[in-house]
Amino acid sequence: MAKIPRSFRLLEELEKGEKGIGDGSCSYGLANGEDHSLSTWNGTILGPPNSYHENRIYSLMIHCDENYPDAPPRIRFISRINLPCVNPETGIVDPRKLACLAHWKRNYTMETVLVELRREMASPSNRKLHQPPEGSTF
Amino acid sequence: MPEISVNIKSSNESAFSVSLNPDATTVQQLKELIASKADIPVERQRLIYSGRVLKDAETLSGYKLSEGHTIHLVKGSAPTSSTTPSTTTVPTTAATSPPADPMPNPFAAGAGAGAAGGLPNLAGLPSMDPNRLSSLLENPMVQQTMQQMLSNPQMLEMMMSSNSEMANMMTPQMRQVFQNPEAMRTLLDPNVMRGMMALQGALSGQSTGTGNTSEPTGIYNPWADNPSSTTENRSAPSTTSPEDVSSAAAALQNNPFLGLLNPQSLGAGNPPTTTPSAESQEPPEVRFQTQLRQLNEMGFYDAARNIRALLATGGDINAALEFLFSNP
Repeated sequence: MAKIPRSFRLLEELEKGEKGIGDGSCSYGLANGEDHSLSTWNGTILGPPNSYHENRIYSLMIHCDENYPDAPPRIRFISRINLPCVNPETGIVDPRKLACLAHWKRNYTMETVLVELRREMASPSNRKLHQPPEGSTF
Repeated sequence: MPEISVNIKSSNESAFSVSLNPDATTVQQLKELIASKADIPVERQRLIYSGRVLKDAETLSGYKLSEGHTIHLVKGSAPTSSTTPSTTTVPTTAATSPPADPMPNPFAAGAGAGAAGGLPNLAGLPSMDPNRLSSLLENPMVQQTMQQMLSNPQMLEMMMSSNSEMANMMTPQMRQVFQNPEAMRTLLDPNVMRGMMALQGALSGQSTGTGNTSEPTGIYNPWADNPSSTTENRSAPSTTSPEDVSSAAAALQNNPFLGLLNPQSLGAGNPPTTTPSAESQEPPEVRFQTQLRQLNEMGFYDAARNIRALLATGGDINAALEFLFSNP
Protein backbone atom coordinates (compact mmCIF):
# COMPACT_ATOMS: atom_id res chain seq x y z
CA MET A 1 0.00 0.00 0.00
CA ALA A 2 1.28 3.41 -0.89
CA LYS A 3 2.26 5.62 1.97
CA ILE A 4 0.27 8.82 2.28
CA PRO A 5 2.79 11.68 2.26
CA ARG A 6 3.11 13.93 5.29
CA SER A 7 1.43 16.97 3.77
CA PHE A 8 -1.59 15.04 2.55
CA ARG A 9 -2.05 13.51 5.90
CA LEU A 10 -1.77 16.81 7.72
CA LEU A 11 -4.13 18.57 5.31
CA GLU A 12 -6.59 15.78 5.91
CA GLU A 13 -6.29 16.26 9.65
CA LEU A 14 -6.57 20.02 9.24
CA GLU A 15 -9.84 19.66 7.39
CA LYS A 16 -11.17 17.24 9.94
CA GLY A 17 -10.29 19.65 12.73
CA GLU A 18 -11.91 22.63 11.04
CA LYS A 19 -15.07 20.78 10.12
CA GLY A 20 -15.27 19.52 13.66
CA ILE A 21 -15.66 15.87 12.83
CA GLY A 22 -15.81 13.89 16.04
CA ASP A 23 -17.73 14.38 19.23
CA GLY A 24 -16.25 17.76 20.09
CA SER A 25 -14.42 16.53 23.17
CA CYS A 26 -11.12 17.14 21.41
CA SER A 27 -10.33 19.82 18.88
CA TYR A 28 -7.23 20.79 16.95
CA GLY A 29 -6.11 23.15 14.23
CA LEU A 30 -3.08 24.91 12.82
CA ALA A 31 -1.68 27.49 15.20
CA ASN A 32 -0.89 29.83 12.35
CA GLY A 33 -2.85 29.73 9.10
CA GLU A 34 0.23 30.85 7.17
CA ASP A 35 2.33 27.96 8.42
CA HIS A 36 2.82 26.11 5.15
CA SER A 37 5.00 23.52 6.82
CA LEU A 38 1.93 22.44 8.79
CA SER A 39 4.10 21.96 11.86
CA THR A 40 2.64 23.79 14.80
CA TRP A 41 -0.85 23.01 15.97
CA ASN A 42 -3.19 23.95 18.76
CA GLY A 43 -5.30 21.41 20.52
CA THR A 44 -7.96 21.45 23.17
CA ILE A 45 -9.33 18.70 25.33
CA LEU A 46 -12.63 19.07 27.07
CA GLY A 47 -12.31 17.64 30.57
CA PRO A 48 -14.14 14.33 30.88
CA PRO A 49 -17.24 14.29 33.06
CA ASN A 50 -17.20 12.71 36.51
CA SER A 51 -13.63 13.72 37.04
CA TYR A 52 -11.80 16.66 38.51
CA HIS A 53 -11.44 17.90 34.94
CA GLU A 54 -15.15 18.23 34.29
CA ASN A 55 -16.10 21.55 32.68
CA ARG A 56 -12.48 22.49 32.11
CA ILE A 57 -10.90 23.09 28.75
CA TYR A 58 -7.24 22.19 28.41
CA SER A 59 -5.11 23.82 25.74
CA LEU A 60 -2.14 22.08 24.19
CA MET A 61 0.55 22.69 21.61
CA ILE A 62 1.26 19.96 19.11
CA HIS A 63 4.36 19.89 16.98
CA CYS A 64 4.53 17.68 13.92
CA ASP A 65 8.08 17.69 12.57
CA GLU A 66 9.12 16.54 9.10
CA ASN A 67 9.10 12.91 10.21
CA TYR A 68 5.40 12.93 11.07
CA PRO A 69 3.47 10.63 10.73
CA ASP A 70 6.32 8.13 10.75
CA ALA A 71 7.31 9.57 14.10
CA PRO A 72 4.86 10.75 16.76
CA PRO A 73 4.14 14.44 17.28
CA ARG A 74 5.49 16.26 20.30
CA ILE A 75 2.81 17.39 22.69
CA ARG A 76 2.92 20.03 25.37
CA PHE A 77 0.16 21.18 27.68
CA ILE A 78 -0.34 24.92 27.90
CA SER A 79 -2.96 24.69 30.61
CA ARG A 80 -1.51 23.42 33.83
CA ILE A 81 -2.48 19.85 34.57
CA ASN A 82 -1.50 17.17 37.03
CA LEU A 83 -1.16 13.90 35.14
CA PRO A 84 1.50 11.19 35.48
CA CYS A 85 2.46 11.41 31.80
CA VAL A 86 2.86 15.20 31.86
CA ASN A 87 6.04 16.85 33.09
CA PRO A 88 4.98 18.99 36.06
CA GLU A 89 7.53 21.71 35.21
CA THR A 90 7.16 22.08 31.48
CA GLY A 91 3.83 20.55 30.54
CA ILE A 92 5.53 18.31 28.00
CA VAL A 93 3.87 14.94 27.56
CA ASP A 94 6.41 12.22 28.21
CA PRO A 95 6.23 9.99 25.13
CA ARG A 96 7.39 7.00 27.16
CA LYS A 97 4.46 7.32 29.51
CA LEU A 98 1.65 7.57 26.99
CA ALA A 99 1.01 4.28 25.22
CA CYS A 100 0.05 5.69 21.83
CA LEU A 101 3.25 7.76 21.68
CA ALA A 102 5.48 5.00 23.02
CA HIS A 103 4.07 2.55 20.49
CA TRP A 104 3.39 4.98 17.70
CA LYS A 105 1.86 3.68 14.49
CA ARG A 106 1.74 5.52 11.23
CA ASN A 107 -2.04 5.52 11.07
CA TYR A 108 -2.33 7.29 14.42
CA THR A 109 -3.32 10.93 14.24
CA MET A 110 -3.24 13.94 16.49
CA GLU A 111 -6.78 13.04 17.39
CA THR A 112 -5.60 9.62 18.56
CA VAL A 113 -3.24 11.32 20.98
CA LEU A 114 -5.77 13.85 22.25
CA VAL A 115 -8.39 11.18 22.77
CA GLU A 116 -5.92 9.02 24.66
CA LEU A 117 -4.88 11.94 26.84
CA ARG A 118 -8.53 12.55 27.62
CA ARG A 119 -8.91 8.90 28.52
CA GLU A 120 -5.93 9.25 30.84
CA MET A 121 -7.69 12.12 32.59
CA ALA A 122 -10.76 9.96 33.11
CA SER A 123 -8.92 6.83 34.24
CA PRO A 124 -9.78 5.69 37.76
CA SER A 125 -6.32 6.42 39.08
CA ASN A 126 -6.16 9.91 37.61
CA ARG A 127 -9.63 11.36 37.57
CA LYS A 128 -9.57 12.46 41.20
CA LEU A 129 -6.04 13.84 41.13
CA HIS A 130 -5.90 17.29 42.57
CA GLN A 131 -5.50 19.84 39.81
CA PRO A 132 -4.02 23.32 39.70
CA PRO A 133 -6.54 26.16 39.45
CA GLU A 134 -8.30 26.39 36.14
CA GLY A 135 -6.76 28.89 33.75
CA SER A 136 -3.20 28.60 35.06
CA THR A 137 -0.58 27.88 32.44
CA PHE A 138 2.83 26.23 32.19
CA MET B 1 -15.90 39.78 3.06
CA PRO B 2 -19.34 38.35 2.49
CA GLU B 3 -21.31 36.39 5.00
CA ILE B 4 -20.36 32.81 5.62
CA SER B 5 -22.24 30.03 7.26
CA VAL B 6 -20.64 28.12 10.10
CA ASN B 7 -21.88 25.22 12.19
CA ILE B 8 -22.23 25.43 15.92
CA LYS B 9 -21.98 22.02 17.48
CA SER B 10 -22.80 21.41 21.08
CA SER B 11 -21.58 18.29 22.82
CA ASN B 12 -25.01 17.01 23.73
CA GLU B 13 -27.38 18.80 21.43
CA SER B 14 -27.81 18.89 17.73
CA ALA B 15 -25.83 21.27 15.64
CA PHE B 16 -27.18 24.37 13.97
CA SER B 17 -25.66 26.87 11.64
CA VAL B 18 -25.34 30.63 11.79
CA SER B 19 -24.52 33.14 9.09
CA LEU B 20 -22.10 35.89 9.88
CA ASN B 21 -19.49 38.17 8.50
CA PRO B 22 -16.22 37.07 10.11
CA ASP B 23 -14.59 40.48 9.64
CA ALA B 24 -17.33 42.33 11.42
CA THR B 25 -18.26 39.83 14.08
CA THR B 26 -16.52 39.43 17.39
CA VAL B 27 -16.65 36.30 19.46
CA GLN B 28 -18.78 38.17 21.96
CA GLN B 29 -21.31 38.98 19.24
CA LEU B 30 -21.33 35.39 18.06
CA LYS B 31 -22.11 34.28 21.59
CA GLU B 32 -25.04 36.67 21.72
CA LEU B 33 -26.26 35.20 18.47
CA ILE B 34 -25.94 31.70 19.88
CA ALA B 35 -27.71 32.72 23.08
CA SER B 36 -30.71 33.79 21.04
CA LYS B 37 -30.79 30.45 19.24
CA ALA B 38 -29.71 27.89 21.78
CA ASP B 39 -30.95 29.31 25.06
CA ILE B 40 -27.55 29.25 26.71
CA PRO B 41 -26.58 32.50 28.41
CA VAL B 42 -23.54 34.23 26.94
CA GLU B 43 -21.50 33.92 30.12
CA ARG B 44 -21.92 30.14 30.14
CA GLN B 45 -20.82 29.66 26.56
CA ARG B 46 -17.35 28.57 25.70
CA LEU B 47 -16.46 28.27 22.07
CA ILE B 48 -13.71 26.10 20.67
CA TYR B 49 -12.49 26.19 17.12
CA SER B 50 -9.48 24.37 15.71
CA GLY B 51 -7.97 23.65 19.04
CA ARG B 52 -8.44 27.10 20.46
CA VAL B 53 -10.75 28.63 23.01
CA LEU B 54 -12.16 31.72 21.33
CA LYS B 55 -11.63 34.99 23.18
CA ASP B 56 -14.54 37.41 23.37
CA ALA B 57 -12.77 40.49 22.04
CA GLU B 58 -11.33 38.89 18.90
CA THR B 59 -13.04 39.00 15.54
CA LEU B 60 -13.81 35.72 13.91
CA SER B 61 -11.63 36.46 10.90
CA GLY B 62 -8.69 36.49 13.31
CA TYR B 63 -9.30 32.81 13.82
CA LYS B 64 -9.40 32.12 10.06
CA LEU B 65 -12.92 30.86 10.35
CA SER B 66 -14.34 30.05 6.94
CA GLU B 67 -17.40 28.71 5.20
CA GLY B 68 -18.67 25.36 6.45
CA HIS B 69 -16.37 25.14 9.45
CA THR B 70 -17.53 24.01 12.83
CA ILE B 71 -17.28 25.69 16.20
CA HIS B 72 -17.76 23.56 19.28
CA LEU B 73 -19.97 24.99 21.95
CA VAL B 74 -19.30 23.90 25.50
CA LYS B 75 -21.59 24.84 28.30
CA GLY B 76 -19.71 25.86 31.40
CA SER B 77 -20.88 26.88 34.81
CA ALA B 78 -18.12 29.38 35.23
CA PRO B 79 -17.70 32.56 33.24
CA THR B 80 -15.74 32.17 30.03
CA SER B 81 -12.47 30.66 31.00
CA SER B 82 -9.89 31.84 28.61
CA THR B 83 -6.27 31.40 29.44
CA THR B 84 -6.17 34.40 31.74
CA PRO B 85 -4.74 33.22 35.02
CA SER B 86 -6.99 35.54 36.98
CA THR B 87 -10.17 33.68 36.25
CA THR B 88 -11.34 31.89 39.28
CA THR B 89 -14.15 29.46 39.07
CA VAL B 90 -16.79 31.37 40.90
CA PRO B 91 -20.16 30.65 39.40
CA THR B 92 -21.69 33.97 38.53
CA THR B 93 -24.97 32.57 37.45
CA ALA B 94 -27.72 33.58 39.79
CA ALA B 95 -29.15 30.31 38.70
CA THR B 96 -32.52 28.98 39.59
CA SER B 97 -31.18 25.50 39.69
CA PRO B 98 -27.88 24.70 41.35
CA PRO B 99 -25.13 25.12 38.79
CA ALA B 100 -22.61 22.41 38.28
CA ASP B 101 -19.86 22.57 40.80
CA PRO B 102 -16.98 23.95 38.76
CA MET B 103 -14.33 22.40 40.92
CA PRO B 104 -15.68 19.40 42.67
CA ASN B 105 -13.91 18.60 45.85
CA PRO B 106 -12.53 15.14 45.16
CA PHE B 107 -13.55 13.86 48.51
CA ALA B 108 -17.01 15.28 48.34
CA ALA B 109 -17.48 13.93 44.89
CA GLY B 110 -16.29 10.51 45.90
CA ALA B 111 -18.40 10.42 48.97
CA GLY B 112 -21.36 11.77 47.11
CA ALA B 113 -21.17 9.28 44.33
CA GLY B 114 -20.49 6.46 46.67
CA ALA B 115 -22.01 6.69 50.06
CA ALA B 116 -24.89 8.95 49.35
CA GLY B 117 -25.53 8.39 45.71
CA GLY B 118 -24.62 4.82 45.12
CA LEU B 119 -26.24 1.75 46.47
CA PRO B 120 -28.44 3.24 49.14
CA ASN B 121 -30.15 5.19 46.44
CA LEU B 122 -30.69 2.10 44.41
CA ALA B 123 -32.10 0.53 47.48
CA GLY B 124 -34.78 3.13 47.64
CA LEU B 125 -35.86 2.60 44.09
CA PRO B 126 -39.07 1.06 43.07
CA SER B 127 -38.87 -2.34 41.48
CA MET B 128 -36.23 -2.48 38.83
CA ASP B 129 -36.55 -3.72 35.32
CA PRO B 130 -33.92 -6.43 34.92
CA ASN B 131 -32.92 -5.30 31.47
CA ARG B 132 -32.49 -1.80 32.62
CA LEU B 133 -30.47 -2.91 35.56
CA SER B 134 -28.16 -5.09 33.60
CA SER B 135 -27.52 -2.38 31.09
CA LEU B 136 -26.77 -0.11 33.98
CA LEU B 137 -24.43 -2.65 35.46
CA GLU B 138 -22.60 -3.07 32.22
CA ASN B 139 -21.97 0.61 32.01
CA PRO B 140 -18.26 0.98 32.66
CA MET B 141 -18.83 4.15 34.59
CA VAL B 142 -21.20 2.47 36.98
CA GLN B 143 -18.88 -0.46 37.34
CA GLN B 144 -16.07 1.83 38.12
CA THR B 145 -18.01 3.65 40.78
CA MET B 146 -19.09 0.39 42.33
CA GLN B 147 -15.58 -0.96 42.34
CA GLN B 148 -14.22 2.15 43.85
CA MET B 149 -16.90 2.28 46.44
CA LEU B 150 -16.47 -1.27 47.45
CA SER B 151 -12.73 -1.06 47.64
CA ASN B 152 -13.08 1.46 50.39
CA PRO B 153 -13.90 -0.27 53.68
CA GLN B 154 -15.04 2.92 55.34
CA MET B 155 -17.49 3.57 52.58
CA LEU B 156 -18.88 0.11 53.03
CA GLU B 157 -19.22 0.60 56.75
CA MET B 158 -21.10 3.79 56.10
CA MET B 159 -23.39 2.13 53.61
CA MET B 160 -24.09 -0.70 55.93
CA SER B 161 -24.97 1.46 58.85
CA SER B 162 -27.12 3.74 56.75
CA ASN B 163 -29.33 0.93 55.61
CA SER B 164 -31.07 -0.99 58.36
CA GLU B 165 -31.81 -3.92 56.10
CA MET B 166 -28.16 -4.27 55.33
CA ALA B 167 -27.11 -3.72 58.89
CA ASN B 168 -29.17 -6.74 59.87
CA MET B 169 -27.41 -8.80 57.28
CA MET B 170 -23.99 -7.82 58.45
CA THR B 171 -23.06 -10.93 60.26
CA PRO B 172 -19.36 -11.47 60.87
CA GLN B 173 -19.27 -13.95 58.01
CA MET B 174 -20.77 -11.36 55.72
CA ARG B 175 -18.24 -8.82 56.78
CA GLN B 176 -15.51 -11.25 55.90
CA VAL B 177 -16.95 -11.67 52.46
CA PHE B 178 -17.15 -7.97 51.93
CA GLN B 179 -13.53 -7.60 52.79
CA ASN B 180 -12.56 -10.15 50.19
CA PRO B 181 -12.07 -8.26 46.93
CA GLU B 182 -12.30 -11.45 44.92
CA ALA B 183 -15.70 -12.25 46.33
CA MET B 184 -16.91 -8.73 45.76
CA ARG B 185 -15.85 -8.79 42.17
CA THR B 186 -17.74 -12.00 41.63
CA LEU B 187 -20.79 -10.59 43.30
CA LEU B 188 -20.81 -7.52 41.17
CA ASP B 189 -20.11 -9.25 37.90
CA PRO B 190 -22.96 -8.18 35.61
CA ASN B 191 -23.38 -11.74 34.45
CA VAL B 192 -23.84 -13.00 37.94
CA MET B 193 -26.23 -10.19 38.68
CA ARG B 194 -28.20 -10.94 35.58
CA GLY B 195 -28.38 -14.59 36.51
CA MET B 196 -29.63 -13.62 39.92
CA MET B 197 -32.21 -11.30 38.46
CA ALA B 198 -33.47 -14.01 36.15
CA LEU B 199 -33.67 -16.36 39.05
CA GLN B 200 -35.54 -13.85 41.06
CA GLY B 201 -37.95 -13.27 38.24
CA ALA B 202 -38.57 -16.98 38.04
CA LEU B 203 -39.08 -17.18 41.77
CA SER B 204 -41.52 -14.37 42.03
CA GLY B 205 -43.67 -16.18 39.54
CA GLN B 206 -43.43 -13.61 36.79
CA SER B 207 -42.28 -16.16 34.32
CA THR B 208 -42.52 -19.54 35.92
CA GLY B 209 -43.55 -22.28 33.58
CA THR B 210 -43.06 -20.23 30.47
CA GLY B 211 -39.66 -21.75 30.10
CA ASN B 212 -38.31 -18.72 28.33
CA THR B 213 -35.10 -16.86 28.85
CA SER B 214 -35.52 -16.86 32.57
CA GLU B 215 -34.82 -20.56 32.59
CA PRO B 216 -31.76 -20.41 34.77
CA THR B 217 -29.51 -22.51 32.66
CA GLY B 218 -26.16 -22.61 34.25
CA ILE B 219 -26.67 -19.75 36.55
CA TYR B 220 -23.47 -19.06 38.25
CA ASN B 221 -23.55 -19.19 41.96
CA PRO B 222 -20.81 -17.00 43.29
CA TRP B 223 -20.96 -18.59 46.70
CA ALA B 224 -20.34 -22.07 45.53
CA ASP B 225 -17.51 -21.09 43.33
CA ASN B 226 -15.67 -19.19 45.92
CA PRO B 227 -14.64 -21.51 48.69
CA SER B 228 -12.21 -19.03 50.07
CA SER B 229 -14.93 -16.55 50.81
CA THR B 230 -17.67 -18.85 51.92
CA THR B 231 -17.70 -20.03 55.44
CA GLU B 232 -18.73 -23.49 56.47
CA ASN B 233 -22.34 -22.70 57.23
CA ARG B 234 -22.84 -20.98 53.92
CA SER B 235 -21.94 -23.78 51.63
CA ALA B 236 -24.68 -23.16 49.14
CA PRO B 237 -25.37 -25.80 46.50
CA SER B 238 -23.37 -25.36 43.40
CA THR B 239 -25.91 -25.04 40.68
CA THR B 240 -29.53 -24.26 40.65
CA SER B 241 -32.32 -25.79 38.71
CA PRO B 242 -35.79 -24.33 38.59
CA GLU B 243 -37.21 -26.93 40.93
CA ASP B 244 -34.52 -26.38 43.45
CA VAL B 245 -36.30 -23.38 44.81
CA SER B 246 -34.99 -23.60 48.29
CA SER B 247 -31.40 -23.40 47.28
CA ALA B 248 -32.27 -20.59 44.93
CA ALA B 249 -33.92 -18.73 47.71
CA ALA B 250 -30.89 -19.26 49.85
CA ALA B 251 -28.71 -17.92 47.10
CA LEU B 252 -30.94 -14.94 46.79
CA GLN B 253 -30.81 -14.15 50.41
CA ASN B 254 -27.12 -14.53 50.36
CA ASN B 255 -26.65 -11.81 47.84
CA PRO B 256 -27.24 -8.61 49.72
CA PHE B 257 -26.87 -6.60 46.59
CA LEU B 258 -29.79 -8.15 44.93
CA GLY B 259 -31.82 -7.45 48.01
CA LEU B 260 -30.65 -3.93 47.85
CA LEU B 261 -31.60 -3.57 44.28
CA ASN B 262 -35.06 -4.85 44.75
CA PRO B 263 -36.18 -4.55 48.32
CA GLN B 264 -39.87 -4.87 47.53
CA SER B 265 -39.70 -8.34 46.18
CA LEU B 266 -37.80 -9.61 49.18
CA GLY B 267 -39.80 -7.89 51.81
CA ALA B 268 -43.51 -8.47 51.84
CA GLY B 269 -45.29 -6.83 48.97
CA ASN B 270 -45.04 -3.26 49.99
CA PRO B 271 -46.67 -1.02 47.45
CA PRO B 272 -43.92 0.36 45.28
CA THR B 273 -43.17 3.97 45.81
CA THR B 274 -44.32 5.85 42.81
CA THR B 275 -43.41 9.25 41.62
CA PRO B 276 -45.78 12.03 42.41
CA SER B 277 -47.85 12.79 39.38
CA ALA B 278 -50.72 14.62 40.96
CA GLU B 279 -48.90 17.86 41.50
CA SER B 280 -47.64 18.05 37.95
CA GLN B 281 -48.53 21.72 37.81
CA GLU B 282 -45.46 22.51 39.85
CA PRO B 283 -42.27 23.28 37.98
CA PRO B 284 -40.08 20.22 37.40
CA GLU B 285 -37.38 21.59 39.70
CA VAL B 286 -39.80 21.31 42.59
CA ARG B 287 -41.53 18.17 41.50
CA PHE B 288 -38.33 16.24 40.96
CA GLN B 289 -36.43 17.79 43.81
CA THR B 290 -35.51 14.48 45.41
CA GLN B 291 -34.55 12.84 42.16
CA LEU B 292 -32.50 15.86 41.15
CA ARG B 293 -30.63 15.71 44.38
CA GLN B 294 -29.99 12.01 43.92
CA LEU B 295 -28.74 12.55 40.39
CA ASN B 296 -26.48 15.27 41.67
CA GLU B 297 -25.09 12.98 44.30
CA MET B 298 -24.40 10.41 41.64
CA GLY B 299 -22.29 12.91 39.79
CA PHE B 300 -24.70 14.28 37.23
CA TYR B 301 -24.19 17.96 37.71
CA ASP B 302 -25.92 19.34 34.69
CA ALA B 303 -29.23 20.44 36.15
CA ALA B 304 -30.83 21.21 32.81
CA ARG B 305 -29.99 17.77 31.48
CA ASN B 306 -31.17 16.09 34.65
CA ILE B 307 -34.50 17.85 34.42
CA ARG B 308 -34.83 16.92 30.81
CA ALA B 309 -34.08 13.29 31.62
CA LEU B 310 -36.57 13.27 34.47
CA LEU B 311 -39.25 14.92 32.37
CA ALA B 312 -38.70 12.43 29.59
CA THR B 313 -39.03 9.53 31.98
CA GLY B 314 -41.78 10.85 34.20
CA GLY B 315 -39.51 11.15 37.20
CA ASP B 316 -38.40 7.53 37.22
CA ILE B 317 -34.85 7.79 38.39
CA ASN B 318 -33.77 4.46 36.87
CA ALA B 319 -35.03 5.42 33.50
CA ALA B 320 -33.57 8.87 33.90
CA LEU B 321 -30.18 7.34 34.65
CA GLU B 322 -30.42 5.20 31.60
CA PHE B 323 -31.43 8.23 29.60
CA LEU B 324 -28.44 10.18 30.87
CA PHE B 325 -26.06 7.34 30.14
CA SER B 326 -27.35 6.72 26.67
CA ASN B 327 -27.41 10.41 25.76
CA PRO B 328 -24.02 11.61 26.92
